[in-house]
Amino acid sequence: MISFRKPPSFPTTFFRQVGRRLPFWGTLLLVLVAAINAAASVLGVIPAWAGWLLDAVSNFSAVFLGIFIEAAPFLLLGTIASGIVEVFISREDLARWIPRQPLPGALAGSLMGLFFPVCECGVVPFTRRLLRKGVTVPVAVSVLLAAPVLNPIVIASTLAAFGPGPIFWGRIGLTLVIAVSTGWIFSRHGAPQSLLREDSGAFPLEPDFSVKTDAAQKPTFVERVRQAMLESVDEFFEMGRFLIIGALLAALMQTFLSQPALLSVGQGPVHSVLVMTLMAVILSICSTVDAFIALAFTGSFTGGAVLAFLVFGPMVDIKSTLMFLRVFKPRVVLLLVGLPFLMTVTSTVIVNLLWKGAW
Amino acid sequence: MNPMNTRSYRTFQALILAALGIFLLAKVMDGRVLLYINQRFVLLVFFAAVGMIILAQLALRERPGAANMDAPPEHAGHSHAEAGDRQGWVLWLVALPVLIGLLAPERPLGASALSSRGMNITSRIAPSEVAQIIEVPSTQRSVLDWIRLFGDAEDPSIYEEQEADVTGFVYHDARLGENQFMAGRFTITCCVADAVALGMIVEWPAAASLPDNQWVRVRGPVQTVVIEGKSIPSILAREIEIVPQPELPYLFQ
Repeated sequence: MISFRKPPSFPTTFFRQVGRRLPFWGTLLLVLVAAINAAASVLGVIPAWAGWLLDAVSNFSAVFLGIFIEAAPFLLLGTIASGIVEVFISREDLARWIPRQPLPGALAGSLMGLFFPVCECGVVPFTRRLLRKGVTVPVAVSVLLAAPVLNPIVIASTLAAFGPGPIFWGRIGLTLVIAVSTGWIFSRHGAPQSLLREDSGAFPLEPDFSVKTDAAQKPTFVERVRQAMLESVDEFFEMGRFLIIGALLAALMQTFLSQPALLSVGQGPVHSVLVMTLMAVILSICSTVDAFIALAFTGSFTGGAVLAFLVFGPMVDIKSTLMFLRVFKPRVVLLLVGLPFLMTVTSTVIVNLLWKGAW
Repeated sequence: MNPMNTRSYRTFQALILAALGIFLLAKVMDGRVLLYINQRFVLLVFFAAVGMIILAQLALRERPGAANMDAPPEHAGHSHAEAGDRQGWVLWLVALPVLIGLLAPERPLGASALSSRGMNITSRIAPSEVAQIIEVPSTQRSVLDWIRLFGDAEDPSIYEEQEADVTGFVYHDARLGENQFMAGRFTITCCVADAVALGMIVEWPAAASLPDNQWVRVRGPVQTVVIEGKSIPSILAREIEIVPQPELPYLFQ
């Protein structure tokens, strides 16, 4: 039989291949560790390799659960924000609020976070909902990149950590510029909708859908809220697994990668920026508090590097990038990560060269 | 692995969501959630846990009817969980936090984590109400309080000879001498992923005999040490007591 379905793309096949084996081997490993741990507490003494294994696993699980417990409420909040959009905001509203021209549209998208404070865990489901409500892909890209920084909570925490100085304004300004220009670049594509995954669930619903349900049996308010809640269950599972894979990767890196070694190579105007962008990706910390973490780096790193950490981290970290894959085609995700990376690095290196040691 | 039918997939979804909710709720109730996140997020986790349980029971009630039959077209926009996504490993992955929480040894970060995370001796930390810390009697200040005081002061020597009484884990940093060790604490801003180890240098003749990761209570007058051009606090230990790990091993920024 001839199949007309396109074969699944690389990350999909890769995830499925790995994914099929994960439950068995993962559970086996966990049971093994639990057994060693039980044996250790009974016997009192354990061989060195077992001690090392228990240390590694407990450090790993502490970081993993830390990220998950911290991120799960924000992911849930993101699906709630997406539910609110679903129930309370119509396509007409959005069409009225967001300008049609590419540049003003991208600007409006970048400022959306001011009204819907979502951080990087919640922004993906939120953006997908906007797409389904007919928001164009370039505008959605701007929302995706800017909302985790340009929202009241993050602005307040950055202000608390750094005060109204160059880092604070630099973070806001650079984020805005990068999000707007990336959105604008996406708008140059002939058919931006084709950048979405076919099964992304992000396509605008057919217009006749609303007509069908409209006249006779328009769902009541309670029915719509219930419906939105049910959808958030699906959304939690869809986005949650990417969040969890991301948290696993981040925890693995934090357990086995030496941060002091990484930081020790991070001197000079260019290296410091590269190291700090890498740190942002590895740490995968929530944008609501990353300013306080960045503060710890101010003594030993250039101002541009700290700025890069604060601008790039919320746009791209392991868990959010994996969630992008649920909505966009893989090559597009590469662009979504690559463009902000290039722009962040270029601009912060320039900052370093222009204002040497003025921080 | 074939895609499951919609009904059993939904059943598992609801059960896993409920398990996650109960897991988080249990952690909040017995306070062990503080081994993972900063206390200021606990209320948020509590509401999220309750929300998960509510969603779980809603999902359980709303399962499509007959088994072995794929769902009839669901309501508008409610069918984006494609058949390809309805696989066992996706469910397992979302259940993983509960599995890890139950099976992996639950130990807070200690000296063993320092090889990958490093110990901060001279870095800046978030500003806070130093005036409030000064109000606290010197013997009740934590490692973090002392480091803040010294970081903020124009001339930290005003704190010298004040009596310190702090608890931390032993860490032998390569930068230190033979009669010194660090009394370390991990501080958390948000969650364990951002844990940063801070420490005060302790002067103690028998420092080498204390093993890494041993929790100790250190008492003695505070001194100033200059490292990398920065003044940081150290303790000239008069008394060192071996203590069990505190219930709250982390300090919160």
